[in-house]
Amino acid sequence: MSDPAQNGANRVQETSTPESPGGRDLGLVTRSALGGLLHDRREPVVLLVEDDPGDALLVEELVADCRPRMSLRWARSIEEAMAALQSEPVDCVLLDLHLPDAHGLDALEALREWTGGTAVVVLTGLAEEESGLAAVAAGAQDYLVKGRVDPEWLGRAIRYAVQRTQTEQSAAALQASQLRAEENARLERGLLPTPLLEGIDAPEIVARYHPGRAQSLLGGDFYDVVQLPDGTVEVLIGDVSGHGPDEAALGVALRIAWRTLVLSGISGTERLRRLDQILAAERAQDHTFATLTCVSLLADRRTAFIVRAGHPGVMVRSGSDVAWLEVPGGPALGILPDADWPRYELALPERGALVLFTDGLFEGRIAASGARLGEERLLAAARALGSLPGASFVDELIGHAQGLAEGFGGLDDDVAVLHVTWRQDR
Amino acid sequence: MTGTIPQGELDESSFSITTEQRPGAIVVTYRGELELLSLAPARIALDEFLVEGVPALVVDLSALEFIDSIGLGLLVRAHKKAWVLRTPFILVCPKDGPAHRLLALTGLLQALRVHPTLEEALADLEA
Repeated sequence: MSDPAQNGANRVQETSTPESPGGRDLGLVTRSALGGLLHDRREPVVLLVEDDPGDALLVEELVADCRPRMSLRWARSIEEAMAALQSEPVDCVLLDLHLPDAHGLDALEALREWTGGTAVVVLTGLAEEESGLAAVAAGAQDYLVKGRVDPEWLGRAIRYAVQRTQTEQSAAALQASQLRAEENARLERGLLPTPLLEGIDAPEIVARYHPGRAQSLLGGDFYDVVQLPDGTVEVLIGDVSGHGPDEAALGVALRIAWRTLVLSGISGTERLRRLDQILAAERAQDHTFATLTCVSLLADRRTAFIVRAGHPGVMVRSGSDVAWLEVPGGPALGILPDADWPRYELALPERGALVLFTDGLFEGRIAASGARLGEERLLAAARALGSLPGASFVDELIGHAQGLAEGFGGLDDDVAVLHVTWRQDR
Repeated sequence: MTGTIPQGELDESSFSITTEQRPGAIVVTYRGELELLSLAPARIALDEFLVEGVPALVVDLSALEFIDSIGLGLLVRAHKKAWVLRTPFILVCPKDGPAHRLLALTGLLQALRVHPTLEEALADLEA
């Protein structure tokens, strides 16, 4: 392996900051894939990477005779090639394996690391068919032996290489979206369970989950409802900071832990302490935290106990009125050692509902200036919907938040809403 | 030392970072919206100073227009990293700013060293 190749690769890595190299790679793959798909009718752009001017001239003449036509760019080194790839989308790279700054398969590796999804056809000398085969094994689409190529052969090799690359990319994208759908279905079962409700005094539950950015995995929002044998109904809503598979998995772990603690008769502050321990033990990264609110509706539905851990407030519906209630609480889970979570006692109106939600509901951008919906505007919207029954109230409220965010990228984050309606029995 | 890292290509909102050398501390100022799209540059700026080793790191949030739980996660992460490296880590956050609301809601006000102005933060370091 030659040093210049290393330097070339390193230099490229550096130019990709401040974004993560992974993010930049993805951008390039997408761009070149789009380049191929959107501009099918334009002449394909071929980038020749060849340091020998004589060989370059030969290739140029071959390309000039190709039908259908293609346009050729020339780079004398990997470094120049990378600059060229940055300046415009390229459909296919014709790569000589003897370059001043990279040799043999190193050149191919350096290039593929940078181009991701661009087709690469390798040029080899007469006595080097084996290195051509090795290049194909290492990811090149094809190889051509210099001096044994005519324009038709060259043109066909390039067109096939581009086609194959596009097909591979579509297949990979399709498979990725299928996997994502399966993963989401699995997470949905874990994060958003069927409420465990039994008995005649069971409250009416409306639960909604609105996933954020299209095509992404579910985030770490979760909820649960469990009715105990004595008639108490335990309600949970929570949100793991961040958005990704680790966060979603942690959301599932916390919800199941919560259900287990509820069924084991652990209540109030003690339940939060245990959840805090579980989060610290289960999180993938030690800065991950979670906010949640637990509500216990006592059997007579006259009293509720609320424990809040860093989570936004809840809305209390009574008649057509809606009030915002942010009870005194403790910190989010996973932040402070030895934290405490006070239990707040709420006297319930005879008929009413509690609305629990995650911050995605009021954090959508609603103006070009970057202004967000915010808690006050959310409450105002909820009050305007105050006479609606549970399901329509929730759907209209989410629809309102979504509608306002529509022109500004939509709701970024996942939104979970849980609407719990009770009626006092006597 | 002063530098500006411009917003990423994808970012529709405005986000920028400036860094400034003050006696006894590096001050990193975030402007605009600290959320998913601005996370990478915001994190890299802090990580570089923490890994390099600085006498103290002050993150000024007074010019933030918005911060969400992802942005908050970044601050928690930096706080924990700084704690391991024994680098004093202080946030500047005025009481009427958007960050203050979220810091209070999540209990981070209790967990982190937070001052309403940069002057008070620097004075705390000297003390």
